[in-house]
Amino acid sequence: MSLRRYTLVGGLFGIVSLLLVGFSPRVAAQTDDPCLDNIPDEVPIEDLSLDPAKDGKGGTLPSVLGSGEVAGILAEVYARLPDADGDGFPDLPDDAEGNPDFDALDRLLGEPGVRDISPGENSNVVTIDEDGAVTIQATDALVQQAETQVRRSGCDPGLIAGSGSALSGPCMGMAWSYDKNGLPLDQAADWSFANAPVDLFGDGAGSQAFTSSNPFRVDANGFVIYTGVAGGLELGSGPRDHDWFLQLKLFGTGTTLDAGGDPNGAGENRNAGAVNLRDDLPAAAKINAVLGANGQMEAEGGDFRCVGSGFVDLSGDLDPTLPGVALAAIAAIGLLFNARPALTWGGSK
Amino acid sequence: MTAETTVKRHPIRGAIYGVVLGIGLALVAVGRKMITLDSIMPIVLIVVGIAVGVLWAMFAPAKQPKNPAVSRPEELTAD
Repeated sequence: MSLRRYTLVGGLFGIVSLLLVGFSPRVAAQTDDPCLDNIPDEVPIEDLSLDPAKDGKGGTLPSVLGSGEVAGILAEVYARLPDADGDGFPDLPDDAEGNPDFDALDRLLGEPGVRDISPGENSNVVTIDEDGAVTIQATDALVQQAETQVRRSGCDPGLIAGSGSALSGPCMGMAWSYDKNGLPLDQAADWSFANAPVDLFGDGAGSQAFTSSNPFRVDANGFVIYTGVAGGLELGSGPRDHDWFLQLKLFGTGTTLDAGGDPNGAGENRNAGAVNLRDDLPAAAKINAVLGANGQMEAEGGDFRCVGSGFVDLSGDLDPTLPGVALAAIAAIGLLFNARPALTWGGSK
Repeated sequence: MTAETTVKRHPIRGAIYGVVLGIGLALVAVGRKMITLDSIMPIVLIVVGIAVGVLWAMFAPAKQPKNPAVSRPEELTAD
């Protein structure tokens, strides 16, 4: 079964994994719109888990996928990028110089939704309509489109869950993270409707993934592969007329990173893709930090809804530690020798 | 008659150095991944830095004058 048949409906798990490639400061424009910026920080993690009985399932996905169903989804990824060494991570072939061939990631890329804002597109929005016509919009239009997409996707960010993580709703999937040499770095999966994603690799294996204490590890010069299913397992059961957005959690507020949507008239339900951080992440964004993000997808007039919230441990070239030490040292010297109270001869009696 | 000293304080300087201190501490904490960027902790650290700077500038032990007191001419010629 060809992955080319699937559009960008790969579930919120994939969307959350996309947060880094969508990390474009140009898109991250702050506004005064409470819909975009004011995310309540006090929402407890428990409230993020959608209750199928109360919220509706929004699809036909089982509450928990069985191993056979998961294997069927993963097989489509391995068909594109075989797991040559059997470690559970799809492997990139080597290029002529013996390094990982990042171009091979293109084998996984699906087609973008017609309302998607292309990440890292040099401040422009590339829109492809149903006739295949390409439209490139300027920065202002990009920001406006992002805001529109946030509203279309429910305008209900309320997703921040303190230090926890969540992926709730009829969107399930798996993500693999690699370092710049193509070596496995982290892996997490969520194959249930309401449970949080689970860490499958490294020291935190078996525990909840994407939390602030166990963030998903990502190399800013590496890449991430993801696959997901949304709506149902059957062909044509994917969410129609869907819209989604991603927000970066920043200083207690949210900033829109990326947004998109698609009519998905065929109801395509799966997606697999890759995030080429080495080539697509702006150099200025390749920092050492733990970042949080929220995402949401809504479709079919709100009957379909997936929400996600989590943290990524980004290892990049820019380490703020040394500049921070330098600033602290300068401040300490200034406080000691330039801001301390001083006795002066003030007169005589 | 004896020369007296007065204490000169620099709260503005203290606040400025406090901002720098807070930014520095926030950068270290972010870089060492002790705090996440989603929280308000970086802003809290900057505010704490400002508070430390101002309090230091107001209440730290005062430095002694660098030079001895200079008597005024009228003092020298008094009586």
